[in-house]
Parts: sequence; structure tokens; C-alpha cells
Amino acid sequence: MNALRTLLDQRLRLALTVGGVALCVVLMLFLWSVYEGVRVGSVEYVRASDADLWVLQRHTTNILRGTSILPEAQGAVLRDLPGVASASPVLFLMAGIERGDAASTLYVTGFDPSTGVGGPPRLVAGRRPETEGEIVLDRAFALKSDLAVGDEVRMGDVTLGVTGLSTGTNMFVIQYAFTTLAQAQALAGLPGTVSTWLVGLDEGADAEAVAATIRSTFGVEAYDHATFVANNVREMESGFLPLLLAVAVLGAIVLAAILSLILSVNVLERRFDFAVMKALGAPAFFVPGLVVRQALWIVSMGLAAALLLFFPLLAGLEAAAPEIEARTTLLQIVVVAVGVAGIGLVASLLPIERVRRIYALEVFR
Amino acid sequence: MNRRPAPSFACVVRVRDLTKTFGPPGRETIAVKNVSLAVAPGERVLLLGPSGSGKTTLLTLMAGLLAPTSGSVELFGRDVSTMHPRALQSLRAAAIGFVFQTFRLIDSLTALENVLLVLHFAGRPRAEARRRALVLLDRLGVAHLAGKRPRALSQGEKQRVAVARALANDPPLLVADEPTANLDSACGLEVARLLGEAAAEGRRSLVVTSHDERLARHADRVLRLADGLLYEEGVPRTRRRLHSTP
Repeated sequence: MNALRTLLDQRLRLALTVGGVALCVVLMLFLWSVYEGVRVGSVEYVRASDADLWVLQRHTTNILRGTSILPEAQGAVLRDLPGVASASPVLFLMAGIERGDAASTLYVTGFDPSTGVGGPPRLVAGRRPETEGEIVLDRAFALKSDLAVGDEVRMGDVTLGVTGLSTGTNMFVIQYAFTTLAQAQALAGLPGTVSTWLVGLDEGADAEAVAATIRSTFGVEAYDHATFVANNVREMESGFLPLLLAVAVLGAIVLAAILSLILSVNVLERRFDFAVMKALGAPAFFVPGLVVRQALWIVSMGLAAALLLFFPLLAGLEAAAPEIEARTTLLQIVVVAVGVAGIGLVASLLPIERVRRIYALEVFR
Repeated sequence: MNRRPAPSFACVVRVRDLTKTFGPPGRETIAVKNVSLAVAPGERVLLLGPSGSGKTTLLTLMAGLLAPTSGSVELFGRDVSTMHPRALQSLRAAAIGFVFQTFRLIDSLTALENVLLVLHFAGRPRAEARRRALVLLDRLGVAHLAGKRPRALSQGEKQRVAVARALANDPPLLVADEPTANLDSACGLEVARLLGEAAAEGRRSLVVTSHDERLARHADRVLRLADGLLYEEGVPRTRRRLHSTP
């Protein structure tokens, strides 16, 4: 009670402090939510595929930052291998897209429309491409570019009609687009080539044994589904996570500095009060406990303010920049809350040290 | 305020050959020099002296708030130099009531909460502490101000709350540092009377520092300090006359 009342005595200062804490919390939650969005968007395509094995060019471990060119003719041999039920070709290429004066780059994915394997994981509008001249765009990209089902886009001298919009296909820095394999090969100028084979196995087939056979037969890489998902997650994290972590750590440091500063100011202002408490026989942990309680009050109020601000701010940001596809979970909020409380406790250390140096005798000055 | 049972110790406070110096070796300032005195249970002692005479230093030494350079301090029969800091803190919370020169009420707390604070330090149960605090504020005539913050109180009201706080744990020893210094003449004498009564009614020992000679009428014994030396000890004339009256 005393801890809170002391804070409330300086309402403007408390409001500014809580505002600072709230902004730091919003920053941390935002970074994590964006990271989650990117994490899901980057690997959702791989995760959602039905493939038991992914076959790629030698030394290629993932589809995010790797090159893989394989002959389409391998397909016939692959399908005849023991244990292989199906082998679906997919071709990936980075391609520039134009609409009016605007130009962007997409991660174009060509797949076999007759099976649908390797196509968009989820459609939120329209249908999959069925013939050449058709394309499915990522929903965030379409929003950002003001495109809708039925519109047309150009890739070089090729015009493609937008037949659908997909989700789980936003990698933040680039978005997936889906077209037929033949169209992708034509766009790349590489007829008869694919990037990967998505292999389905016979029931009861030993995935590792089939993968070993594929490796030895073609001199390529073959990964089971879980390994390939992990490879892509690792690749995404290695490129994106350090930056987010650096900003999040910076936010945490700013938060700790704000808290420590304001608590130290409170200690200095109430120096004589603390000296009185010590003179009157306050138990050893009473006065430091007040500082900790103040820190926790500020953090709690900051968290509450942050939660009130966060979702409207996020909605506004996503409306302004649709490629930002954040994902916020209760777990994130709990972890950030616990983390911020921890930062609050750490920030209390310096003011507690100041409190320790306040002596009961100061009352008699 | 009930009369307390006879204590098991002969002296509430006893100091022997007490010396306190400040500053680095070779350039020390002597604040208190070779002071010996004892305060008996229920005795009211006035430490008189001008500013800088060492009376506040002596008071803090006697209350166990300051360690002496040499000599010893016994509180309720226990040598404070051998006590664990936590035990000394508990003893201070439960057995010594403080009244400070500038009231030193905590501004963020109400008058009632200021009194409750020391009851909390002494580990009193919440409900009992609240009853006790309200009774004390009532006795000191400030119960109607229980919910007010110190900044809303007059100087005299603040000092009454401070006295209530000092009496909260029914301590056998009250110490007051210049309790009248910040008050006008009438208020000062009123506070001196309150402290004297509180000591007499509760059979408490009272040690007061002051430069105000008029407080002597509320004391059983007056000690004079100058330059850290205790140079006079005696029963004030007014009381001596009273004592000698058949």
C-alpha cells in the first residue's frame, strides 16, 4: 500500500514511467509477434505439405536460401524405386512482378496442378491455378499491392490472371506465389527442370531406407519431412532471429534503465523516510521490499497499459503494412510479463544498494 | 496507559566510559568523551546542551543506533556490542519509542498508518495494531485526524502523532531528540508535558535532548553536556524543592 501510494504521489512521473515501460513491452511483444508470423509464414508451406521425403540438389538443405536444379526426367525413375508411391515436381524461382509502375519480387512456386501437391497450403479466396497464365498470390502481398482475384499481373512479357489468395505464405521480406509447373518453367526459361521432388511413400515403407536409395541412385539430397522442416526453421532463424533478438535486448535494457532510474529517484526523494523506518526498527528486508514492490507496481501498470495499447496498435500497423503478419499468443504475453517482472527485479538492484547506504542516523540531522 | 510490571533489569540504559569520535585518525573530532551514566526504569532524564555539544550523538549511542569508539552501552541489561544487528533492530522496534526533532512522519502515510508502521515492525497482529493505534491517537487528541496525511496537519498535531507513534509498542524507553525545537513556545511545552505524562503513566524511562531549560521541570534528572563532556548532573531545583517538601 505504501509502495503504491508513494508512486501515486508523483502522478505525472508515474504516468511517464508507466508509459515508457508500456512502450518497451509493446516493442518486445511486437517483435515476438512478428517473429512468430515470419516463423510460421516461412515454413508453413513446407510444414503443410504431404511429402514424406524432400529430394533436392546435392548440398542443398532448405528451400529458403538454397539453389536446387534437378532434371524433370528423374521423376520416372524415382517413381519406380521400391517404396515410392508418388513423386511430385516443384520448381521455385524468384521472379519480378509488375503491375502498372509498381514492381516487386515473389517466390514463385510451380507445381503440378493435376495432383495439387506443392501448391498453396491454404486458400482464403478463389481457386488454385489450373492452367498456364494463372497465379495465386499471398493474401498480404495482394493487400499491399491492391490486387484481388480476377486482376492481372505481368512477369516480364507474360501476363498472369490472379485466381486465388493464400495464407501461411508470407515470409515478411518476400511472399510466395503459385503457378503451374509448366508456367514456372517457362518463366525461368528452364524447361525440363524442377527444384525438388515431393515424394510420397508406400504404406509401411522405411523412409530412411528409401531416402538412402534415392541419394545413391541420383547423387542428390533426400530428407524426411521432420528434418526438412527443421532445416528450414533453422535457416529462417539464423537470418532473422539475431536482428529481432538484438532489438528486443535493446528494449529490455532501456526498460531496465528507465525502471532503475525512476526507482533511484524515488529512493533519493524518500531518503529520510527510509532512514526513519530504519531508526524505528524496520526489519532488514522491509525497506528493500518497498523498492521491489514499487518496481513490480510500475511493471504491472506498464504491462496493463501495454496490453491495452498493443492490439489496437498492431491492427493499425497491419492495416498500414499488410506484409507484417504478426501472431500473438497467450504464451507470448505470459512470457513477456514474466520477463518484464524479472527485468523489474533486476532494475531494483541499484536502488536497493542505495537504500542499503541510507543510515538510521540520518534522521537526527 | 497501564503501569508496567517491575522490570528485571536495574537500568534501562547504562553507558560506561563512552567515547565517540568522528573523522580519520589524527584528525578526529570528539563528539562524546568518557561519558558514564545510567537511566533507571521510569526515570526521566534531560540532556541539556547547546548545539554541537554532543547530546544527539550520546542519544543515538544510548539507543544503539551508533557504535561507540570506546566504552560500552547496555540496553535493558544487554551489551549492544554483542548483539546481532537483527536482534538490536527487533529490540529497537519493540522497546524504544523515538520522537524526532522534525517529527519525521512519513508523508505518504496517514497519521494512523504512521502509528501502525511501528506496530507492524514489532510484528503485532493487524487488527490488534489498528485498535491500539486508534486508542493512542484518541488519547493524544488526534483521533479525528487518523485518515489525514502529515502535510494536512499542524505542527502541534504532527508532534502528537509522532508521540503516539513512539508509544505504539508501549516501550519501556522513550527517547526524544529536541522534540520542542520546531514548535512555538506553547506547543513545545505541551509536547514536553505529553512526553512527561506518557513516561510517568507508563512508568517508562524517558531520555530527552534539548537546549530548552524549561523542559527541566518535566525531568527527574538533568545532565549537561558541552564539547562532549558530561559536566553536571543533578535534580532540577524545582523538583528538589518538591522532593524536600514534607
